[in-house]
Amino acid sequence: MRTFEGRAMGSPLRLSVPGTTDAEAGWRAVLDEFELSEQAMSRFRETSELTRLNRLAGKTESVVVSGRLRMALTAAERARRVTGGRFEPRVLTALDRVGYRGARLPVVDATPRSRWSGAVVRRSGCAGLMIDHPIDLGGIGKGLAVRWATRRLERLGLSDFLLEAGGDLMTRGAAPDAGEWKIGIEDPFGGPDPKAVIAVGPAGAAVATSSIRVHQWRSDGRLVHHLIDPATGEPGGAGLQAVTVAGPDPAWAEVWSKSLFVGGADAIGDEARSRGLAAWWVDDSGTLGMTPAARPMTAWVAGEG
Amino acid sequence: MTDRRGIVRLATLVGGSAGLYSVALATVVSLQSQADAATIAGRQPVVDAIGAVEGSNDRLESLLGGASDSYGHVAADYEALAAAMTSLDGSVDALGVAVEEVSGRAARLPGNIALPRLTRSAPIQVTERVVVHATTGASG
Repeated sequence: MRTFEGRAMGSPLRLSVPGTTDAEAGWRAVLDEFELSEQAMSRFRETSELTRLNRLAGKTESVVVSGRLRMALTAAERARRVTGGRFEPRVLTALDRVGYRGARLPVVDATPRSRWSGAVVRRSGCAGLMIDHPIDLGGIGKGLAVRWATRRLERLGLSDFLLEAGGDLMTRGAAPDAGEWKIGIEDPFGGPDPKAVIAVGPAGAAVATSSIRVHQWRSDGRLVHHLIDPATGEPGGAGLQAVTVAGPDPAWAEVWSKSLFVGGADAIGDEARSRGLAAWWVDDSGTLGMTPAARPMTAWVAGEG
Repeated sequence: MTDRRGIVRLATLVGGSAGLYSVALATVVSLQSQADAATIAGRQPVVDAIGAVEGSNDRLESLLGGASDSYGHVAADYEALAAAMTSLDGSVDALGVAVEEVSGRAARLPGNIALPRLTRSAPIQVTERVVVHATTGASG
């Protein structure tokens, strides 16, 4: 198996291709796609299109943006509507307040949360976009980059591969031993063994995890993290450590893992089951839960042998 | 001479009388005609209203005819449905009998079944941990 490794969007980036397939062109396409996506959607990069747009939030000036950012904003708006507001790209001010800061913005958005009603983009046309509130595309941006990179790999003729970007993965075709791709679900408490292993067949699947293991710090004497509940404007996911979702599309797997996490331990089972999602979660006690749709994909569970 | 004057006077009287009568008759006829015209004009709205009522009656009759037809169709459908319901009632009764029979047999089943003791003849295989190609978790 050939493996290419790099770093993009603040996360490790890796492409694994079984056999001796010449995948140099594929890896270059992946790097190019992630660079273009980061330049369009990153809120940490001072020169990104999103930063430029966020700096004009609430003003009457339109910003011309690339197709990538336009598609990302459309996808984020749809995710907001489909999740009933659990996914909300306008939580940037709340993230800033708890200390998860990106590129510097000139104006702090002090708009109450109740004013988040309506679409994310105020006006969209040939002349550009206008927004009322700064936007964070965390929870969907990396998934979109994986989606677009996957399309480029397929256009280059690669049929079997595993693309990883941090916690977001996409598989296609067969694994090196002509079998299923095996994806371990990390122990959010840092243990060496995975909590479970997902087996993905040749049709491929996207897997995404929302976890507070890395982005957790103290702010005003309390432990906070980066997964903000739009309903409260505070870190959400009471009782949960990590949520993993598998599905056909990496962006939606990421959206659902974040939305389910934000809902907390009490709601996740019913919510994930009612939507037919293949979801796994680890609560504060370390217990692994999963939906009926997740069970057939689960090849191994810690403690079950 | 006297006779001729008398005849002339008589003729004048007769002519005058006839003239007066004609004038009177013409006056009476004219008055009668005006009265008749006034009466006819006065009755015209009533005649028009009667015409409108007749038109409404025709339409109402047509609607009632349609409603009668619809009622006939509904009655026919209801009869068909009633027949189906009767058949369904019979099926439900049969199902009830079957359920009672199954319930009775289930009640007669023993609560516990003593299984023969198993002797383990081979050691249980300890599954090795699955080798993974990648791990999904916190990013950053």
